[in-house]
Amino acid sequence: MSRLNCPSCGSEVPLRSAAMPYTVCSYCQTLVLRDGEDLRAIGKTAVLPFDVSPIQLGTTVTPDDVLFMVVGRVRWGWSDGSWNEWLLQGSDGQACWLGEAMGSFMLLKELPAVLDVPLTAQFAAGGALERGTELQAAGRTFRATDIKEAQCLGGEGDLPFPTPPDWTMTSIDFRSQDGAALNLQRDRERTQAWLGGYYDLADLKPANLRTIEGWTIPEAVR
Amino acid sequence: MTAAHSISCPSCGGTIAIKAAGYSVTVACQYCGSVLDVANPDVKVIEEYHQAALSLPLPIGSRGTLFDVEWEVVGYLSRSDGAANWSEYLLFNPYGGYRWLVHAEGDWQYGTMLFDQPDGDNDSVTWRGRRFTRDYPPAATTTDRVVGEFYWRVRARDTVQAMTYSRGDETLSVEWSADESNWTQLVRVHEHDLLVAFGRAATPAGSRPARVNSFMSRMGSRYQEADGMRESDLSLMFLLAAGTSILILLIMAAFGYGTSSVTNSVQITVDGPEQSATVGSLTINRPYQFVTVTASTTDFTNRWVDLDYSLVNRETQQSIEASGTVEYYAGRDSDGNWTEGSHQTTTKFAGVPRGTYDIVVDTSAHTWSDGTYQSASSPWSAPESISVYIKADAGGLIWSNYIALLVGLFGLPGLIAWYRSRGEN
Repeated sequence: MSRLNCPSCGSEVPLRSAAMPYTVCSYCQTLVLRDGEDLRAIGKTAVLPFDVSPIQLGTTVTPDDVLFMVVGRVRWGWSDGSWNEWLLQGSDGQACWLGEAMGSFMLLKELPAVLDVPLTAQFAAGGALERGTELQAAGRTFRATDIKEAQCLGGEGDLPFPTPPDWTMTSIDFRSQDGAALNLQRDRERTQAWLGGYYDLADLKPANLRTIEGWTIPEAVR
Repeated sequence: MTAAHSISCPSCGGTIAIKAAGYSVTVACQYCGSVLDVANPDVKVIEEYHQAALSLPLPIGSRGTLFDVEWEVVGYLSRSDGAANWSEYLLFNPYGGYRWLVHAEGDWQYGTMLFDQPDGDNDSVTWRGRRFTRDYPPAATTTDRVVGEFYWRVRARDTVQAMTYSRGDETLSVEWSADESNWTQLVRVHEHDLLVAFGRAATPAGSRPARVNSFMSRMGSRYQEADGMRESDLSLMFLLAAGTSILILLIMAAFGYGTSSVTNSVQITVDGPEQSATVGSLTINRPYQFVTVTASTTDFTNRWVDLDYSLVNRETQQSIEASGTVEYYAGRDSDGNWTEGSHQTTTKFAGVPRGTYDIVVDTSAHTWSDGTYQSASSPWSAPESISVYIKADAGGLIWSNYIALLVGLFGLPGLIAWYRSRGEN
């Protein structure tokens, strides 16, 4: 692992995922663009408000046979709350996102094919979807359960994109009968579709969870 | 990393610890009931109240283990749908997420949010291969009062649509508003198990002495009919005294019997600095209970060990203090060899109120010299140390109180009996 220093404050910037062009300095919150060995400060991100998430940068999860490490996070806020999206880098090279809201988890991989479904194509073109809308994807029927207008609150760690505070998106969660999850995210530039499932923390077989004072890490997730 | 972060209620100034920081959006102040928006760093008052604090069967902040996970009560909602009133408690564990406890007419249900959606129509739904039938038509459910913190925007008089489907003891409940719908699975939990789990159980002594009492009265009638006991109410006095003393003994035993105990050991240097150690934490499940702390030490002579105990209530941070001494002396005088003291001491705390306590001990050891005894420690040897083993039990009987009771109960009838027997002679 090469040692790189923040161009703004000079403290060491750990390189967790070489694939990610952006990283947030954990000392001064400078958003750093990485181009090989060349680091460029491109702005500041907000200090993430304190939260009690059990996940931290460096936490690993092994939902199936592949080990993933948490390398970055984006926090989104909406009018009535906020949630985390943790970026996972897999030992097999693939990346996916772990959504964390209300103490439950959603593991998602990008599935562009979903955007070919007429309903999602219409959403991608700027149309609205209502709660309860049914959608056929990945051999299942999904139903829209949650529609939110979200704003980026900031980020930490290594990320594939910068996290400017004026970044807003529409996020729609779909649930199915068998616990699968489908998520559509539309911002000013594009629409992405994500497919995956809901998990309990224990199902993710986590390691290196954050220690939270006053609580014991349960045996099942140690 | 601490789990809680604190805010001041802008309405009453009370300090509120937010347990699920980052998840919680709304906090209803436990002191004045005002509903606060904590989604953003600047805390805003949504609705100002000046209500009396509620006394809840499961207070905000209490913890209990249900289905192998320790949960903390972080929120409380009082809700109604026109036909019924009920309470809902929000449980939180940072590693386990959220769960619910629904309390209606003495029944408790444990709720888990579902991510695999039941499928069906208005009359019945299928979930995980099983069919649930609808209990009642959709009803508007109103939140009447809130205390604590919530991961969604909540305020009094909020209304959502709700419907439940049941199969035996299991219920599926669905609630929906304009842009969100949620299914919850509810399973029944027994009130007693739940209250025990959260350390809120009423004393179980109630039922046992009652049975003993009826047994005693049956015994009593036979005893009263015995020859020589009929003329006066003296026999009744003895019987009542005996019955009461046995009843009190049973109640003392029921209150006193330890439900839990913790141990720890401390090593202290003789004439060294005072040492502070945490023995462990004990939960008192009954309204008041004894706590017995026993300290025993490794062998020593002509030393004494001072022990200052504090029972610190986790919730209120109030502490109950007591002290003990372990001392053992030996020497030789004109009468020969003598020893005094022992290597153990027991300290009892009477009437410790319900709660979870951290037991802290401050201990120090000192040398006593009678002038003839030569100290074993020399400047070049390692400092002498004493190991103190401390055991704390929730429980224990205070026999002196019981003996005083026996004297009180049997004293008068005993005196009368003695007086009469003298008269007959």
